Amino acid sequence: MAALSANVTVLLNDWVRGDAGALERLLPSVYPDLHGLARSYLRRGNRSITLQTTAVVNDLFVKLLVNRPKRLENRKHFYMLAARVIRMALVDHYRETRADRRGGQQQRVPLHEDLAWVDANSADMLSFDLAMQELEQLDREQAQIFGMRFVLGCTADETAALMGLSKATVDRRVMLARGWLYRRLRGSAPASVARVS
Amino acid sequence: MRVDSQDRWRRVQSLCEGLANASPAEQMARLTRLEADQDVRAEAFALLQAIRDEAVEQRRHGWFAPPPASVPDPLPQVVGGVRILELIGSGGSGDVFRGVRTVNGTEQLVAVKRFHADRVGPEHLERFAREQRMLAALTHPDIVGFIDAGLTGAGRPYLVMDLVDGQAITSHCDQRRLRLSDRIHLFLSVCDAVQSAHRHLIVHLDLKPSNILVSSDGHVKLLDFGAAKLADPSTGFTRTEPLTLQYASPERLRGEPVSVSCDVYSLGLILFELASGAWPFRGQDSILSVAERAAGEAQVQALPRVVTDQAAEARATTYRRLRSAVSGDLEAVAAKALAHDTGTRCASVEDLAEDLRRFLAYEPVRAQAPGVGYRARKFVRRHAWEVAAAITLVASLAGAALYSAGQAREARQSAAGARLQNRFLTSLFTIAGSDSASRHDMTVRQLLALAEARIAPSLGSNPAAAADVEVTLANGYLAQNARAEARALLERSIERARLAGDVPRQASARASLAYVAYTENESDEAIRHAWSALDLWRQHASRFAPSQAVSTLLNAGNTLSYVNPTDPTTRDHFEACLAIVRAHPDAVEPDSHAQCLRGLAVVYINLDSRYDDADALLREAVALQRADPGRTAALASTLQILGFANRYRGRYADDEAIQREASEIMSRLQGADSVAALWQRAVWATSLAGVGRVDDAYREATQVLSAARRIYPEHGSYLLWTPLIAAASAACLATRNDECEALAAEAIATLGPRPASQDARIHSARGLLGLALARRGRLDEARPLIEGALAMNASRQRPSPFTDLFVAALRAR
Repeated sequence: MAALSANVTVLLNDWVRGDAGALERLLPSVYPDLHGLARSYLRRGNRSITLQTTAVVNDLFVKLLVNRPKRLENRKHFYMLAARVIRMALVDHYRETRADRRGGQQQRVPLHEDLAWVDANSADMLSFDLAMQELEQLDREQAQIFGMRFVLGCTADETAALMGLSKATVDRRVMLARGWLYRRLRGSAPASVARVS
Repeated sequence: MRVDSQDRWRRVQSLCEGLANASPAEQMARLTRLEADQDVRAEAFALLQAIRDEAVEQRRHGWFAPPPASVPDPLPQVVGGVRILELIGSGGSGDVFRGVRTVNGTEQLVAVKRFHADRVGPEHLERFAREQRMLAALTHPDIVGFIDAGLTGAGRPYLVMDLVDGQAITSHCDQRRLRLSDRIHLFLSVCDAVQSAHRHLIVHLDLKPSNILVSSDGHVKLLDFGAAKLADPSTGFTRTEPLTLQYASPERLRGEPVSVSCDVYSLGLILFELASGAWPFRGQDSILSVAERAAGEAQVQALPRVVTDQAAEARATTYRRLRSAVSGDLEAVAAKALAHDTGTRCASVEDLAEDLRRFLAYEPVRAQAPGVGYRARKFVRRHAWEVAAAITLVASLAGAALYSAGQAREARQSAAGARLQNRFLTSLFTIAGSDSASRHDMTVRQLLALAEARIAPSLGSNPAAAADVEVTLANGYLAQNARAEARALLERSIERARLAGDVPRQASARASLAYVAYTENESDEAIRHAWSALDLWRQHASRFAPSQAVSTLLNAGNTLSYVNPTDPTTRDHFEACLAIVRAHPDAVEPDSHAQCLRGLAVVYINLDSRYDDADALLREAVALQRADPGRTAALASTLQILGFANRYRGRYADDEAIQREASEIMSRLQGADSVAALWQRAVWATSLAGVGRVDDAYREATQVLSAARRIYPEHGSYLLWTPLIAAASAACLATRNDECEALAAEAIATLGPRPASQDARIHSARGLLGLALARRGRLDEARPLIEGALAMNASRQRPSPFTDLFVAALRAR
């Protein structure tokens, strides 16, 4: 894997020194690579997206964490950014491959095992992205928690630690956000559920 | 507008948070009560409904794993000349099949690993071929055999390997409830296999429990060696399977060049899991955990902190014992293998294995920060049993170790006495410390070797002094259980004295050698050396200084007495010894004096039933030892024998007072939980039964019993006999017959399959058992047991508090 470009390094240093905007400016530099990785993982198919996300995010960290953000505030921003990058990569991947789909059934790829009904390999991903954008407007913290939990794959404990909240609070917020997301993606009428004994 | 919607959302949110677990009807009712705005109420109710629906939907997807929509690749017919039978595993890097390979007409079951197609480009073929050759060279009994490798027609690389039937090392250990030490032994064979690969310049890079199988007969097999590199030969960073990141080292996660250090790290993780059943970092395979590990922000948790009851149970031990076993050294070894920085990490698998071997041998590990305090603690722990054994050996009429012929103070530093041992040790540490700063990790044995090497340069011109020091060092080796070294040293000393024509030192060293031979269970050789030393003394008595004569007589006399406690000649040796001591009281160490008195007293007890005379000699010995604060442990053991002498002459109250004092001394000296103190306390408990303090006897005995079982399960029968007999006696005296029977039977069981006639102890236990049976009317079974006990007591002219009870029991009915 190629070394970090000089520009990336400079931006990272700025960021570590406390320039929050540097992270946002960093995004275009690292995104192409990440995007490519997301694409290759999705193409390989048949494993859950969580594992693939793990690999994608890991690459992000491999690139960035060498300049480790020490301060908690920095780290929190960093993980937020990572969650957004993943989301973007997944959406873009869907957009790009949509044209190639010739009506054949695509493999379902659950976004996260705890959010298995969201198929990251379908139009769900677009709705999910829109819903998350909406939630960011409505309740930024809620969206951050949700992104960390289900896009980045953090555990509730880790999310709580990074956000400076209790685990109970995180669980409560996640529960509400799940319902909120379900309404946005599935509407108020629930899909009929086949009962299986 | 936006502010509006945010405010609304907050209201909806706070309403819903408290209502999520209520029934829909109750939700509706409470919403109506709590919220006036109908829109907010409707939205909240819709959200609560959605939460329920979402949970159902999620469960539905959780129940049914999404069926693989794309049809998996059809099973290949043949890969690399192997007829494929079935798919046995599938991972990120490829699929594994079971197949049959035909070689010279013989069919052989093999495993075939076929990598994903997009892994190896044509430009890597040469490298791939080179790796194959390296793998082929890698033969180790614990590494799965490499058979063949190549590219399929479609250009997919494959490996053919031996088929292994086994279980992942972690589940193997848990399922069999292997103890910590067994787990480490198993882990050491893994280290050995990895080391062997490293010598071939092959790193594994994918070590994880599922790649380390243990066959049902307990043999380790490492899988997938070199597979990681074969899978992606383009760079050092192999990305075979995202899940593998869990066991990957930080530098590998960061994509830096890999080395043997990566395997050390992965082994560290596996060691941590094997020892504690836990993962060293918070969050096992979560993205955050992996990322923080890559960045060096993850803290390795302390091994003892993660131990649980469940983990202890899976290791066939208790929580407390497991926790203390993994504290300190093992904790340090694991932490060093898991160091983030390759610079501070344990440098090689060899180093890791070496430290684990040291841990198993209670030797100082190199991962621990050096310090005299640490080394001293280590010494005491490592030798707690040896030191205690030496003392109890003395106490059980077995005598001290070697008595030096010289007057040097260090000659008195025998194996008995932890404090003296420590002083001796400290002096050796001083030697080591002054020699070189790098000696901080020396073991006692190495220190002894160092001291031994100094004999020639510093004492070479004085063979007499050299011979005396050699006896001292031989004592040190004996305490280390290094009998071969002790023996070699003494043989050299004998030879040195013989060449110098120094008969007394020759005799004295030979008597010491007799004792060493005895400790090695070489009875015939021990007797031969003892008599050879005694003959030298008899022929050249006039040439012996008093101290030389005494050490010769003591070592030879003790040896003969241990080999055969009723050897009638021992009386001559100890009488001669005592005569010399009485004639030259100032020329002999008080302790040697006391040992002579004690040796003769033991003769009186064992051979002559002269308990009053024994009492007088032992009181003299006790007086000498009381004056010598350095010999408190020896005093305690003399007191014990004095107590026995009084018990045998019917002075049960004296016995009780004496045994109590000995018990107090041992507890103070060695700690209340030490083997020596527990044992002495059990002896005291038997005395308590003798004076009729039945409840006290029972309490003391059962407390010792449970402590012995808890703290020293490995020393079971040795330590359990006395408390069992004490508890059985107390139960019998209290006519708790069931308990008496059970305890006596257990006591008999601790003696093992030993002929009754050779062990007087079995008669006392059988007597108690017989008493319990007789009281329950089973007189026919009881009679032979009781009669045996009575006969034994009569033959040794020893009364017993049970004599009357025995007789009464036989007369019953």
